[in-house]
Amino acid sequence: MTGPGTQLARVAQLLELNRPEQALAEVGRLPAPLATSPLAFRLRAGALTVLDRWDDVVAVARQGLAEHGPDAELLGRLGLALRHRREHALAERALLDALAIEPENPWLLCQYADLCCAVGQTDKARRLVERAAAIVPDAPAVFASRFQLAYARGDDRAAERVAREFLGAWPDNPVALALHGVAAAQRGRVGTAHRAFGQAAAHDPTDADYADAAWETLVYAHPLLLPLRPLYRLGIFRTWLLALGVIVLLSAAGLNVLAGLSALAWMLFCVWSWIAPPLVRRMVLGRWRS
Amino acid sequence: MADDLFTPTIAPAAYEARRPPWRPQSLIFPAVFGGPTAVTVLALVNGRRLGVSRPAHLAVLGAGLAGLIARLALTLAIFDDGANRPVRLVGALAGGLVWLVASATQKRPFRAYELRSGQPASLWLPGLGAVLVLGFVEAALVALVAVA
Repeated sequence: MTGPGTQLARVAQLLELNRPEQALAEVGRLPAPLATSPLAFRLRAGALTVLDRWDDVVAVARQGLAEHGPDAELLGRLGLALRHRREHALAERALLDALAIEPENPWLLCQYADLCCAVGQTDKARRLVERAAAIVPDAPAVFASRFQLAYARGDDRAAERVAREFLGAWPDNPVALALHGVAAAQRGRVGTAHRAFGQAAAHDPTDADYADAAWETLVYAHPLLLPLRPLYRLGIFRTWLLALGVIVLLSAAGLNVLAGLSALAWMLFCVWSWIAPPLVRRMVLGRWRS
Repeated sequence: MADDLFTPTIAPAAYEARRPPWRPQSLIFPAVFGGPTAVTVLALVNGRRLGVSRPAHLAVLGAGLAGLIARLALTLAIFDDGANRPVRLVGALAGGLVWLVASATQKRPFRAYELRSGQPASLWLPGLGAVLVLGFVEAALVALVAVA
């Protein structure tokens, strides 16, 4: 015979094993008083969060809060779900209510920092991340928030450095792998990005975003997009500077025919970089569907 | 003591749904092919969609006007000089400089938009339209100034 504690522990274990569907099914089988306990609400909201079922997270968190009163974890989940529903002011209210209960909770601090990044308040986000990092510097949530902060500030080098540190500390963490993929894609390293997203999808098959990102990077590895690799690696600004520099230098050296040919080649390259990616994406998607 | 970190700072109406913006980096294409007028108009529209600050709007507008004046001045200088230099390149460079300002002021708001799970709009038709219409208007203006 299994006691109530054992049943809830089993649900928690299923969540630990990244089996949110099974965890939800298990919670659904709990007897009436246990199914409406504060822990059951937390576990249900946690499983729904993993499945990105944000409307359901909002409903479950609100029901749990209505039945049992303020709860930091449920408020945190509510804030996260409301952010995904783009209800930013309401998300902030929920997270602040949660932080009023647990002001030193690193996960809540990171959630609030992520929300601030998403609305462009990066200075406040930085202070929140620093506070969370002072408590648990090596927590995955802290690494992820540091990455988001660097990305939101447009500091791609810092984002790449954080992604490397994250992967070094948590080599099997799907978020670490995915962020490593994002950083690699940002720097034009399509192959590395594809491998990282593929590994992330293998570690967490429940998250469709990883598989989508792996597919997207596969598109960019298509042979028709090979000529665009230097553009992705160097970035738009440096590539333009290089191209214009070459054209101006050839022109200044009196090699007008070569300069003209270079300008023509560069224009064709630009047109190709504009039209090729959507065409290849459509082509590959069509082939996959058929 | 109250912690100012835990004071609400997100206004309910500040991030309401607008039309999706274009990727600021992609504005380089209309900038180079259309010139400063095309990229300025597109960047101002994009800035509005991203909800950038008034100083950022003014910076783009100022860069656009400066780019256009610089293009006209340089073109006149080239015509006065009688040299056979690439006048088109001056337009592309002026557009590129305006793009630099637009990119610098819109990169962060666009990143925030991405972090709100926003998807960029396609610049295909607006970009092509701006290149053809505004690029032509600008070329006509340059020709008029050169003739006058």
